[in-house]
Amino acid sequence: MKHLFIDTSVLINYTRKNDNVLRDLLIQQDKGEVELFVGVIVVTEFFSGTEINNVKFLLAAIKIFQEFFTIIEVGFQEGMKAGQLRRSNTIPLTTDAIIAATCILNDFELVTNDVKHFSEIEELKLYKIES
Amino acid sequence: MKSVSSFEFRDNLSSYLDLVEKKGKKYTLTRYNKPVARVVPYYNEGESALMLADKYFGFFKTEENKNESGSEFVDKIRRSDEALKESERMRNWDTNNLE
Repeated sequence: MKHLFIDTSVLINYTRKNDNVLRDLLIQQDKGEVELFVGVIVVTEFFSGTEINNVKFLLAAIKIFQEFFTIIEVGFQEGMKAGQLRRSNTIPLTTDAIIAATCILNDFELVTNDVKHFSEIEELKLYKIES
Repeated sequence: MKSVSSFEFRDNLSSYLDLVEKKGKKYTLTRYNKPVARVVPYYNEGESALMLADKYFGFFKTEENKNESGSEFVDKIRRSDEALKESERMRNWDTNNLE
């Protein structure tokens, strides 16, 4: 079974019906073909959206994370790896580096609409989104 | 789907049910290494996988955000001017700064 890490852009596109990527993956997850993970950065960014000020959206957001994903804990090892990625100048932003490090250390494929920001990291597996 | 022995599942029933209920985990129960049953989250009657996948599909689309893509949202939150400036500072920083 593939273990996939969902980036914020993919989650936003699902909740705004911009594309079918996450919707299709949720169906695959139900069949036992993939397992979907997110980390604290994705949670933080999703909850940064101004829509969340509305209690209806707040409750839905909580449900989405409870029902769809396994939340992966990020700790010291991921921090060290993210630091190494930043030192090597393959990825400029701390948040991107933590996501990449989490994927590398847990053998996840990263599902993102922002491939260009992660493309210089050779160790990182990127999920190919069919267009 | 993770496999769990029926003995392990029985001895930690409450913990496993918490994971099924709160994290949507699914398990294949085995007896003497042979799969015998599946434990999956309970959906309301008639709520199929497709219905679950559609449950929040487009739920957050509003007049204000309807033209903003996921990448644009992330650029706004994660790649703000301040974050990019900090990144640039890191790029220009080298060990000579320690001297």
